[in-house]
Amino acid sequence: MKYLLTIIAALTFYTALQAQQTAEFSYQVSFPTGDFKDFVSKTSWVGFSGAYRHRLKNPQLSLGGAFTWFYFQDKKGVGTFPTAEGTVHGNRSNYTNIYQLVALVQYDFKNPKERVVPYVRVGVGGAYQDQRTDIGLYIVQSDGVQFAANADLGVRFNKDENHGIFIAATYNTLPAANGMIATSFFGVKLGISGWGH
Amino acid sequence: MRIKKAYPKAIAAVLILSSTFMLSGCYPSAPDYISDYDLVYTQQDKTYDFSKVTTYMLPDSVEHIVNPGDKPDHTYDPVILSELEKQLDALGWERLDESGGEPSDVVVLPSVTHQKQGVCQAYCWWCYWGWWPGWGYYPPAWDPSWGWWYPSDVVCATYNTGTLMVNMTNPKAPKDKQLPVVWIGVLNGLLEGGTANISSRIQTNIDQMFKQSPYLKQ
Repeated sequence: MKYLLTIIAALTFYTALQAQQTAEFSYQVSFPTGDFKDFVSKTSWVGFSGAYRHRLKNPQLSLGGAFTWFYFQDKKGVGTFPTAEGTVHGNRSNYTNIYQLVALVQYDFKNPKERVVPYVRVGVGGAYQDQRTDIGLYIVQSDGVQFAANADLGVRFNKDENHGIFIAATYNTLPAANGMIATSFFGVKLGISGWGH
Repeated sequence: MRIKKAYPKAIAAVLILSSTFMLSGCYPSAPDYISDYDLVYTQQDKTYDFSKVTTYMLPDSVEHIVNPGDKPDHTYDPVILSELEKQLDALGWERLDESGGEPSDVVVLPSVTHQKQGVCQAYCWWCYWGWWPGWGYYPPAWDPSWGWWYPSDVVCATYNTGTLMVNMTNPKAPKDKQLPVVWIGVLNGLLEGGTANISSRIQTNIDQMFKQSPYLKQ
């Protein structure tokens, strides 16, 4: 599945170069919330995203897509914890890799060519996630495809007509599926963007 | 104008190249110590009343499950047996001798596997413990067609490394030609390191089996 996502992402970015569009690359720090926080409580420092948006007739509105990779890990250490039927004691590490592909809608609150442009963005799509627990010599794995949605509230700072940087607060949610724990996290995203015509 | 196109292209190139790296994913670094790979699992039959247990039997040997032609390594048998006796005595239970003429409430049977092998349902109990003379106290007469009966969802898997499996059975309540296993303790880990180190880890982890099973002492 993750290979399919990569192919789609590559085609998306190729398409982005053929028309008036915006390409972006961002880095994200993420903070787990909800049930996911029980699985991984540590802050994630690994989150990379690529996106492209095509401007509509109303230049403040754009549509596009984004491919994102997140990695979360939490080395719980040696401990004793209950399972469905028994009790386990051992050195435990919880971690997950998330490969997410979403369709985007973005609304810029100002003309996108102004120096400072606040915006809101919503993404809906799917993700392949691989949640694992290592304990002793064993790996407990739950993986599969699930629904994914996210929302950003950010500000873009345009250096000139064609270059900019942006910062955004973001929230991601992936409901429980295929034995995977419901995944949700806040994030702070920092990125660069460029325009093509 | 050229820079306008070059910039998105550069971003796209970085993304496509970095996606190859992304796909390999990240994983936690390996543990620092061999003991970090040790795993202790216990499970009880929740319908069994351990408060009524006052006596146990423990054989003088550990059963080794090895592939045909392989020689079992009995180096750690004394450590396993002495630590199990210590922990069972600490529960306040009395150890009975199989030649003493009196059946015990439970029988504790330790088995060790050294390599990849399925345990639990596929386990031929008669092959490993059916010979034990202590069974003579418990009616009816058992034969090799009997098997173990485990609580539901007991962890059964193949073990690639050293695994000690301690079965506590209730021989007074056979059911459908199966012996109820009322408690299991499983220790799994790497058989690496010196003898003293492995012995110490065995003792520590057998101790852990009983620590995380407080319901045994009532």
